Parts: sequence; structure tokens; C-alpha cells
Amino acid sequence: MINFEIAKLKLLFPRLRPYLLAVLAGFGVVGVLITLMGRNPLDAFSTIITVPLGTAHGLTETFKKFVPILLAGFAYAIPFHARLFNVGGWGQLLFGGIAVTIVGLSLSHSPPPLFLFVPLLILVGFLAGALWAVVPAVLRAYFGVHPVISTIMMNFIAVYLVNYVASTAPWAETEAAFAGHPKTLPLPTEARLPPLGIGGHAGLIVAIIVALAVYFLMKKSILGYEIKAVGANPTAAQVFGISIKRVTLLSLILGGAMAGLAGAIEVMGVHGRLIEGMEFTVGASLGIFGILSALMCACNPIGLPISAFFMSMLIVGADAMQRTMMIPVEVVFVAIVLMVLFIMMLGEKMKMR
Amino acid sequence: MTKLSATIRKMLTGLTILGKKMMFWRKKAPAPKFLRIRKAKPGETVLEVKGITKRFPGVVANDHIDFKIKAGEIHGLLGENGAGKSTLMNIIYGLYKADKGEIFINGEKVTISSPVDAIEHKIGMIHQHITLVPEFTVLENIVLGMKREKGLLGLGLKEERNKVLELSKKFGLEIPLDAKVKELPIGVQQKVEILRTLYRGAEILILDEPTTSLVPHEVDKLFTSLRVMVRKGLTIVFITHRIREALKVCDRITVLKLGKVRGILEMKGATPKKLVEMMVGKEIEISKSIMFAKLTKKRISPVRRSKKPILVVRNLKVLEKKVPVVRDCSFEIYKGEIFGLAGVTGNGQKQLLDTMIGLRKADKGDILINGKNIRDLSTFDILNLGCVYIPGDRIKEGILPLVTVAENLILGCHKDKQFCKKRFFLSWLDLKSLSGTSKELISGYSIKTPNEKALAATLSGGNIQRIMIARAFSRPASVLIADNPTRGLDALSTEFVLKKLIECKSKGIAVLLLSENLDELLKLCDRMGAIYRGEIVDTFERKNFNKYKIGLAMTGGRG
Repeated sequence: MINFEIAKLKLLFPRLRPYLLAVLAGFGVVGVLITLMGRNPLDAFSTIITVPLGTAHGLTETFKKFVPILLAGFAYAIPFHARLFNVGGWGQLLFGGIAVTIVGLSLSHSPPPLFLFVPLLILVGFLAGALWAVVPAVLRAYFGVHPVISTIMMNFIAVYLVNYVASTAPWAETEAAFAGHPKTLPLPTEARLPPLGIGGHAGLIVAIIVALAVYFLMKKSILGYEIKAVGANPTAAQVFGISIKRVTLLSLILGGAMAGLAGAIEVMGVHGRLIEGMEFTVGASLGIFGILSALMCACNPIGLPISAFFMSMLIVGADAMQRTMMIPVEVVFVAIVLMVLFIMMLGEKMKMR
Repeated sequence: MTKLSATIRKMLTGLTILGKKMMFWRKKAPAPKFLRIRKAKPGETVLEVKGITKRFPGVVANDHIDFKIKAGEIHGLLGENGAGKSTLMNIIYGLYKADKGEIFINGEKVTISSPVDAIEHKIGMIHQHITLVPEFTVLENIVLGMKREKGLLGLGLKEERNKVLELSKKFGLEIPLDAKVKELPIGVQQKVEILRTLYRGAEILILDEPTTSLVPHEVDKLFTSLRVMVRKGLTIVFITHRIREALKVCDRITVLKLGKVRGILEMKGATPKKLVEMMVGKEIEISKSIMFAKLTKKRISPVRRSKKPILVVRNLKVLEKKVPVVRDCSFEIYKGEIFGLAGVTGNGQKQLLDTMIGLRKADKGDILINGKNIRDLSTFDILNLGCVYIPGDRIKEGILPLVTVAENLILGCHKDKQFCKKRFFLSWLDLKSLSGTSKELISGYSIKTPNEKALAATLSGGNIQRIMIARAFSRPASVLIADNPTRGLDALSTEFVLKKLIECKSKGIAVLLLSENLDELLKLCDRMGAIYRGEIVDTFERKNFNKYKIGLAMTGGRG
């Protein structure tokens, strides 16, 4: 039995090796940077690891980051299996947030009970994200426009749409600007995600359900099969009766819906309202972190929760490190970016052999 | 992604080579290597490998291979697909690294870790598929990437032209140097590849399945020039799975089977029967084989022609960029009949098939399956009407490389009731039935794979073709469209495919068979049409089959 386990580990190790190497290399470089700043890198690393994992507050914060990063990760990962690059998670997330805020505020005079209101708003976020992805999906399927370009354009539109909604009449909070950022009125309490103790808020449950659903979708459903087929060889897929247009539309829209969910949960669970720039966490958009975690695990639906959790841990840890040791968070971003690059490099190298 | 990284890698290698060249730029260039062809005594061993072993996950591709090549001979390397021929040559050419074993050149032990090393040891390889830049002229292609003596700017084509001309005269490879490669027939393009390799100083030429994409008279021409080259002092390794070709051109033949050397034959003692036995064992009975059958007028199996045709193509016209590529094409296929379509590649066959399976829209005309017009149906609907398709280019159109063998086997029928279950408002794959069916197909069609979950990209060409065949024949059908189903296959696989085609016929399926191999069509078909410039110029009944008449029709001459 033990031998069997060891054999299994031995098989697993070569596959995990690039990841371990990449993490070591990333932190190695950052260790040098921190040393150059005249601080002790070991202290910094121990803060990065112990605060998010070892303290109750840290763990809660980590889970709160984990949910939107995981969902934004799926927004990139699902279309990626059809070789479509959805870098519009950012905009889709924002549009999800916008829709949830508008619907939530318009029902705030006589809010339905929580068990109806919350699922309704989550559905609204899902649909809004999907709607935001319809544009690049249609542009790709019918006009051949590359989704990288169209989704980036849609990101800009969404960012300014948030600005508009957060500073325009029926929705905007007119009194006392929130640290200079325009923001909307708060959602009624019936529209907030209930807290979940150490797990942050109820969004975690949504994220876990979604993760399972995506896993089954990619591994066992016909749609997942067709997405993989188109990604592997579009010509062959077409010759054997799979409609590329349909797969393009569905995978991009589904990806958008994931990001829309992330936006809805961010509004309903963390901020309680729409705030300009709310999607930024320590310096970069949650949508970008989603893409980074998806890249880290080659868009594998099992790997994504792990890499998303790792990513949120690093974010929370970096924040703590900045506050306690006065080392700028950007240092940890250097580590994250290097890790992604190393993983891709080593992964490609393994493929070549 | 992989493609991109491969391109980047190529560019990087290119840059490194360029860098190396620049360092030696100012040194005086040595006398060109190719002019001093060493007069090795015929019979002397020029290349020897000892104990070469190479493992790939799940397969031993080369198992302690010992192998000698003598100067001035054409040495055949014969074996089935997956016997390890190409692996062995890729090791010698430095593309793969052997796990074990040694390589000796002229008795000296050498290490070859890249094609650059191989060229330094005067070994050149010509791959199965053409690797020239189609937009460039012949001369530009030959000179491309070479170190030149005059500066880095300017191609210096004038000086090189004479050298190339000298080489081409010497080896009887006369080619118009200023023609663009894309305008030349494949046979000539291959000569350009050979000349390019010679220009780089190769004295030992490895040709990997060079006849795959050639038509019969081009094969003859190639063999003639190989003879000339050998007479001028070169040594040639000829990789093939075609016994007739090996017998026709080689001086000695080494037969490989399953990664091991089965024997080395001098030409005197070699007979086709002996070679087949060494190559495939006793699995093929030559007397019963379809592939080794002589071209006779005897029917391989009877036709049971019904009155109503199953597949009818009527006055079909297809436009590509406003130019007709299929014009006024009409034929019909009856139940249990194999209808052959003979033609030189590029005469509208591809477009015709694309239209028949719904990838292209017809401009005019109708296509009927069992009386139903399928002209405006989608591919999915056409396949569901009982039309089964074996694509001609299995890599481009047939296989999902990074997807498992099992999932490849159900491509196209993944929405059939057998595999598709509706639950929770969605359709799900029935994984049990998937793995069960795929295991059955893997053993039934002898697909060599570690298990059904292996990635299709890891399989050899012959086994990928078996996936195509298994996929096509496992679905009930009334029409089978097979585009070159035996292209690039070895004896055993070819035999297998031909038998399956005849089986289809006996099941009453209407078969449309396209092949570049006229012999194959002559053996199998009940009727044959010759296509030329998108038009079926003539149709032949089996009793009127005549190789030369059909050949003439294929090239546009009537008569």
C-alpha cells in the first residue's frame, strides 16, 4: 500500500516539478530584491505565508479574494480550451457588478426576502457577464475579429460605464465622496451575501458549486467535448459536424458569465455597493489575477482552484508584508509574474521533449 | 501555442547559427566542401551504428540496432509503420538523442547532437514532406540559410549559381534555377531538396519515404537520378515501406520490425515473398492478399446493383474565389458499389468532397442521398443521414492531437444516443459506454496505443489512420466517402483498409473512393470516373478498365 502511494507520488513529481521550480525561482529572485532593500527576506516570506494561512482574519481575507479570482480564472480558462483568449474578464466582472447594483437598487424600496433576492442578483450578475461577452463572441464567430482585441475594448467601455453609474443621479451616492472614488448608494441588507465565518461570505459556496460544475462540464459534457475538439483541431471538428460558431459563442459567453458572477459576488459580498476602482486589489484588477492563475495551471479545471487560492494567499500576504515590514507589495507581484513566466517556460520545454 | 514556440525555437537556432557565422565572418572562407567528394572505395563501410536503443513512453522504438552502410550503395531500410526506421534515421541525423548506442563514421566514433553536427559529418536528410519556401526561386531556396563568402548583405547569388549549376550537372539533377518553387511539380521540388542537401556538402543522403507524394513516372525519374548520384560517389539510405520500390532501386536492404533488425539482404537473394515475411511476419498471406494481387479483371466481390442509386451528384458546380473549381460534375453510386474517382491531386477533388459533406456551398446542382437533397444541409445533418467520411489529410482534418484516443474515436458520433445522455438540461458523455466502445474498437482495429486514454498525438501515422477507419466503420452508414484511405500506410495497414472497404461493399454501402494510387482503384472499383479540372471527363466500367486510357483521361486527353 505504502509502496503504491510512493509510486504514485513518483509519477506525480515530474508533473509538479516545473511548478515547484517556478515557485522557488520566483521567490529566489524576490528574496534578492528584498535583501537589496536591506530587509530580511526570510521574515518577509514567513509573513507572506503565516498571515493568510495562520490567522483567522487572514484566512477570511484570503477566501474573500479567492472567490472572484477563481471565477475570473474560469472566465479565461473555459474559452481557452477552444483556443479563444478571453482577456475581458475585467470588463465582464465590472458589468456583472453594474447590473447587480442597478437591479438591487431599483428593488430596494420593497426588497424581496434574502433567500430570493440573493439568488436573483447572482443570476443577474451571471447573465450580465454573459451579455458583456456576447459582443466579442459574435464579433469572433461572424466577423473573425480576434477576441483579444475585442475583449480589451470592452474592458475600457466597462470601466467608464462604472464611472458613469457611480456618479449619475438615481444610483450615485451624492454625499461625501468615498476617498475620492465615485460610488453608488449601498444595496439593501437583503441583497448582501450572508457572512460565512472564517470562509468570508456565502460567495465561497457559489464558487465551489461553480468549480464543480465547470469540472463536470469540461470532463463529461458534450459541450466540453466540443470545446476541446475545436481547441485541438478546428478543421477536424468542422469536418465531423461540430459547429465552430456555436462553440465560439457558447464558450466565450460562458466565460463572460463566470466573470459576471465574480463581479456580482464582489458587490454583494465585499463592498455592498458599486465603487469606481473596486476591482483593484493591491494594484491590479481581479480579472488580471484570474488570468494569471489560469495561466499558472494551464487552465486545468482541477488546478485552477489551487492556483487561485495560492494567488489570493500571496495577495493577502503581500498586503500584510507591506503593512508590517514596509516592503512594497509590488515586490510580490514581481514574484507572481516571474512564477507565471517560469511555469510557462518549463511547461513548453517539457512539451518539446 | 506549441506551433508558436516551435517557430520561436527555430528562429533562435537560426540566430545562434547566424551568430556563429558572424564570428568567423572575417576569416578566409575554406574551399567549398562539396567539390572534394572523397573517393571512398566501394564496399568500404562509411556509416555504422552499434546498439542503438531509443525508448519513447510505452514503446521501444529502436532496440539494440546494429546497422552498416557501405560507400556507394543504395541501402534500403524497409519496415512497417512504427518499425523504427524514421526514429533510427532521426538519431543519425541528430534530431533525436539515442538512449544507448554508438555511431561510427569511416570507423571513427562520433557524437551527433543536432542536424548541424550531422551536416559536418556529411550526412544529409530529406524528409517525407517538402520543406521549401514556395514563394522563393529554386536558387534562393538552395542558398537560403547558408554561409556566404561575400559579406552579410546581398544574396551573392551570382557566385552561388555556378556552384549549384556544377553540382546539378554532376548529379544529373537539372532544374530551372530561377523558377519559383510553387510552380514546380512535387517530383521536381524533391530534386530541389536533394540538391540543397548536396550543396551543404552531404555525402550520405537519407531519404525518408521519398515516393509518398510522387506519381509513377516521377518515381521512375527519382530512381534514375539516385542511380546517377550513387555512381558519382554518394551513398544513399532509402527509407520505405514499399517492397516493390525497395527491390527496384536498392543494392542492399535492411529490414526492421518492431524496433529490431530482422535481417540484411543482398539484392541477389531478395524476393518479394521473403521481404514480406521478414517485414510483416506471416500475418499477410500473399496469395490471398488484395494489396499484392495482380491487376486482374476478376471481381474481388460481386456487385449487387439495385435500380435506385444511393448517392447522386447532379450537375454540381462549385466556385472558389469566383472561379469554378468543380464544373458540371455528375455521377451516381449504387448500393454495394465502389465508385473510384481517379485524378491528379488538385483537380477539384477536395472541393467536391467538401461540398458533399457540407463544408462548402454548391453554386449549382444537387447532391442526393437516398433521394434526399443534402445541398443546403449542415455537416452535422449530412453525417446523420448515414454519410461517413474518411478525410484525406488525417493530420489536418481527422485527428484531435491533444485529446485522448477514446474521444477521437467518437468524434462525429458523440451526439449519438449511444454516447450522449440528457441530464440536468444538458447533454453528457456516457463515459462507460465511451470507454467500452473505444476498447472494443482499439482491439478490433488493432490500434497500437498504451490505452484508450493516451493522447492521439503520440500515435504513429498508421495508427491514426486506423482511428479514422474505426471511427468511420463503427457507425451505420449508407454512403462512405473515403479520400485516400491508404495514403502513407504500410503493407499490413493498407491490406487492412482494403479489406474493410470490400466489407463495406458487401454490406451494401455505396462507396466513393478517391486515391492517388491508380493500381489500388483498378483493383477495388466497380466503376471509375476520371476527374480533370473539376470535371468528370470520362467514366469506365470495370470490364473496360485500362490503365493508360484512364491515365490519359486524368490528364485531360480524351480517348
